[in-house]
Amino acid sequence: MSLPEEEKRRILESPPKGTWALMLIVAAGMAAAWLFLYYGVFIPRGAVQ
Amino acid sequence: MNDHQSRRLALWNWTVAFAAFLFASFLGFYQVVERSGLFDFLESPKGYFASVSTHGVLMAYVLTTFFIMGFGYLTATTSLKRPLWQPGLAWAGFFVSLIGTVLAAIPLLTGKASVLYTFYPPIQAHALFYIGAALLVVGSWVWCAIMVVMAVQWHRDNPGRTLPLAMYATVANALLWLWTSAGVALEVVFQLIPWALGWNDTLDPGLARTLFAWTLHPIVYFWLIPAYIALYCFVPREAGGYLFSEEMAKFAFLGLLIFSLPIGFHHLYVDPEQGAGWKLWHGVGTFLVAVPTLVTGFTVLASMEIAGRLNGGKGLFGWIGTLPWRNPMVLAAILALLMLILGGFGGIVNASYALNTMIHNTAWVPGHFHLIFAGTTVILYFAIAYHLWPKITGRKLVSNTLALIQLWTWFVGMTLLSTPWHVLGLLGQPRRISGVTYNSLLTLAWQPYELFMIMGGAVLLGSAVLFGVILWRTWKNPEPETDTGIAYAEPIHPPEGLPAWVENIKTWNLVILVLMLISFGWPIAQFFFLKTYESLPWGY
Repeated sequence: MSLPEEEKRRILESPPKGTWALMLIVAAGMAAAWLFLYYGVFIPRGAVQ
Repeated sequence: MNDHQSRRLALWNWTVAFAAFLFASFLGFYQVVERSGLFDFLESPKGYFASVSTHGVLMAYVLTTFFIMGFGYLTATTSLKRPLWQPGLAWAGFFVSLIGTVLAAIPLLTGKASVLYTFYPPIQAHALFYIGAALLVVGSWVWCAIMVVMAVQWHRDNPGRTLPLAMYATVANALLWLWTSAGVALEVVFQLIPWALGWNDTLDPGLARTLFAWTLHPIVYFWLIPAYIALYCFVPREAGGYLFSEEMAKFAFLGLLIFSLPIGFHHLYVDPEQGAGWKLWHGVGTFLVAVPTLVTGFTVLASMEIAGRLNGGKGLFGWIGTLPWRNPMVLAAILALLMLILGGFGGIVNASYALNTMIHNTAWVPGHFHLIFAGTTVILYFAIAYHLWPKITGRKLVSNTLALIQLWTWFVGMTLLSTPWHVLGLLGQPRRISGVTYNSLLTLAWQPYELFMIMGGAVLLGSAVLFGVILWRTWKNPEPETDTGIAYAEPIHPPEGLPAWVENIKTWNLVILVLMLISFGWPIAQFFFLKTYESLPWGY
């Protein structure tokens, strides 16, 4: 599909909003997973007996 | 331009790499079945450890080293647009590495080097294994020298211009490998070979582990950088767009080169020979090296978003659907990034001191490195092969659909294999065990996960065989490939205003030297000053 030059220029100059959104989702997911492992798995196991 | 030599070098380096990969894939499947403990007739600790050692050496050292050398010769000649410097020397390096591989294979296959692929005394291999491994590395140093010389010559002939990105990353990787391999080279030459030959009857395992930790983490980035080259230099173009930012790409490669080196002690978090302060220092560096990977994730995704929008994608995520999913390079990039997210999370857990104590030496660890290496890295090796194999053989790719099936099955197989592996680690299964033959409530709980792992291993083996079939049939395809040129993605804006040190190899080395002296200077020197209770540092 051939885009008009103006539209192509607009796309190239636009900030990558979708990428920012994906990065935020991934970062939030990782933080949540880390917190779950720490508080949900590691801490409840307690000290070595 | 005549780059016939680099293509022949790539072809034969990759032939060795992929032959090793195929053989190791069969061993991998045997191991996952044997260690499950579900098949009594297969139980053989001796066979298992010989197999796992061969599998690890072939995958981690032979596949990677030969693949990277072949890829480097291609990127150097095609991105710099100049002939290969000293092709005779490159062939000499190839044969030295090949002879080393064969020498190491003899004790591996006869069960005399069942030391896994880590060089941790007091487990000892036959001297031939260490000598062969050393030769493999020495051959790869020839490749490093050629890459550095070609970059320096190009800079000399093109004053004021910046290195093409693919070559920039390749020469960063060559320098990374020279620095990385020095640690294990010192260990092998001064400790392990004299010990294995019987010249010394003792050595200091703490020092050996410290030297191997020097190598053990940055080596992962040596394997990973070719995959990142594909993400930055091939994927945007194959997706129908442009590279979002060449400046960010160069900062990412430079960051990987500099910050992946002084961080190996997170592998020694529970070792006694290094102090807590040094572990903290290396731990901080481990988190720091995540930054270039985050930059890579962002830049590559942004490049794909641009391509998707140029293809007609709308909305926040509509561009994902308009990406050319039937292009093997694009598909592999998407699957690799997915596995990088999960593997990257595992890496953050490993780097976190407290959480590391929970998963240290458990099945979590091989689960993690399989996801990062065999997942993210190797799937992009496949994509690079599908992209370049037709160009170096001059034969058309035999089937795009088969290539897509192979990539999908690899992803599915790796997910099936590595996810339960992580869970088994959390359930307390140790790593480096040859089987589970005893019955208890704990080990019985492992069985469903073992079954999933066997299914994953079977899918992976099928995928590996399919990869071999595709390459073989392509090589023998009577239909010629018409497009044998190698093109790289163009950035949206040409790189401008980069500080001079970003291109200065001497500055990179100076910074690395300072960081390495700070991070490894005293931790190594201490072994020569502290009483080591009958373990002599070098055995002399």
